[in-house]
Amino acid sequence: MPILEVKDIHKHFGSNEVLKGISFSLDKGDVLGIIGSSGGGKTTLLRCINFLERADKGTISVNGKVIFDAAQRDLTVEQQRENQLNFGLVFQQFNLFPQYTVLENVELAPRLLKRYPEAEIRERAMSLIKRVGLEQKIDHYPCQLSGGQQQRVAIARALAMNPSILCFDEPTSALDPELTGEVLKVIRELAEAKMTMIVVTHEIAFARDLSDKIIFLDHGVIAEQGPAKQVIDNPQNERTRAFLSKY
Amino acid sequence: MIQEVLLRLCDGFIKTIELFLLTLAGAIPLGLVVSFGSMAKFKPLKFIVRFIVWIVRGTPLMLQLIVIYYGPGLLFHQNIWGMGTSGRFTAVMVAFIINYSCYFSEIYRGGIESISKGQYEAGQVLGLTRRQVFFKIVLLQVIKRIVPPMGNEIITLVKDTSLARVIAVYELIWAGQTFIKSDGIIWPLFTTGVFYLVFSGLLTILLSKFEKKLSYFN
Repeated sequence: MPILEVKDIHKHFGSNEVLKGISFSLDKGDVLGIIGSSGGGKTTLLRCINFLERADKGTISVNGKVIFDAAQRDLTVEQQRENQLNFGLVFQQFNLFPQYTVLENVELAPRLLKRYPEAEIRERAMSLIKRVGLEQKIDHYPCQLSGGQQQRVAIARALAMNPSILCFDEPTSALDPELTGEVLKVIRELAEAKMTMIVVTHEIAFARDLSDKIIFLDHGVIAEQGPAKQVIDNPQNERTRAFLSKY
Repeated sequence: MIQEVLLRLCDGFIKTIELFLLTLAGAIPLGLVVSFGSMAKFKPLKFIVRFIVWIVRGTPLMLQLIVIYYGPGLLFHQNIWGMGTSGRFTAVMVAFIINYSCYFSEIYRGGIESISKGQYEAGQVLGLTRRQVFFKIVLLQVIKRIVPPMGNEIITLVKDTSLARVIAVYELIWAGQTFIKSDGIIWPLFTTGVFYLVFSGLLTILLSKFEKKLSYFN
């Protein structure tokens, strides 16, 4: 059984139909890369999965359990919040909390939501920060860090709530080219550790190496999906070919 | 003579400080309530609150004082403020708190609306409640941004307290003025300026200290 099953997701803003029926599934431990031109609906899809937008139609299931059904509106706020915690999201703009140190950023949510005993929160936060290679910076504030470092903290912060599926929304798009490497390295290490991930990215070569599966999103529909190397090295769809020829 | 003047001025000054502190104690929290009202999703509430803010910010505080103190008596033939000095003082407090709440609410609104959507979303995807997002993530960032404009208003308030004189609340200016009639001297009135200057100077120092304290993040 796939860990994630997304069925027939539709979303429109006003008269603009951004997602026109998106369905896919993802197996545990796999990495899904989502590529496509700007305005194709990649970010909106990720935001729907993370409950930042409410899809107009469709369902999302995790481990066989429906956690979102657009037809049903009777979920309590608490249930919705609990369901949403199946996912973690790393933003393009990092969105760290500026008034908190690296350590405080990572510990904030587990502590406020009393996710673990106090001692364990500290221990887990420290090990996550070590994992992204920032143990020297635990007492620094976000404004004292480079973009790449901030994004690595954001990854640790997302992992602190122990999500089943970690999502990335163009994690390196806001970074200087020489800083993308350190972030990609962390994501790669997570993939090697069998973290289930969805990565929206413009780094085609990275997507190819990292992903088990690629979805090419074009004008709100999945134009092509399949094993990463197959889609990128040998695209079948004309639009995919046109898109990839630019890289 | 000098001693007597200073004693009387200090008397008035204490009232001035009292007006100042009580107005802040009332208007700082009430302003937050007003700002939530002016950002309400429920349109009629938002409209009413913004209408009130428009009236209060669009008319002189001196006029508001007079209307609030004399209005109820003229309309209902009843003095709701009570007799004598304490009644007048209550009326002044009500007028000041309403007036400053409206000014503060607009500063708060600007501060709250300047926080990026990403901060709210980051809190939301971590599973925090709306209340936690506001109090644990947004609030301190808002405070940092509103310190300079709030400082401006607070310094203005120091001097606005002198308007209480209009409905015969004995404060610093009045204390200075009495010497014109009783002793034919005007320098006590001029001296009140020193009190205001020293007081607002101290506040300026305090505010910039506070601003510095919040400069560790941006």
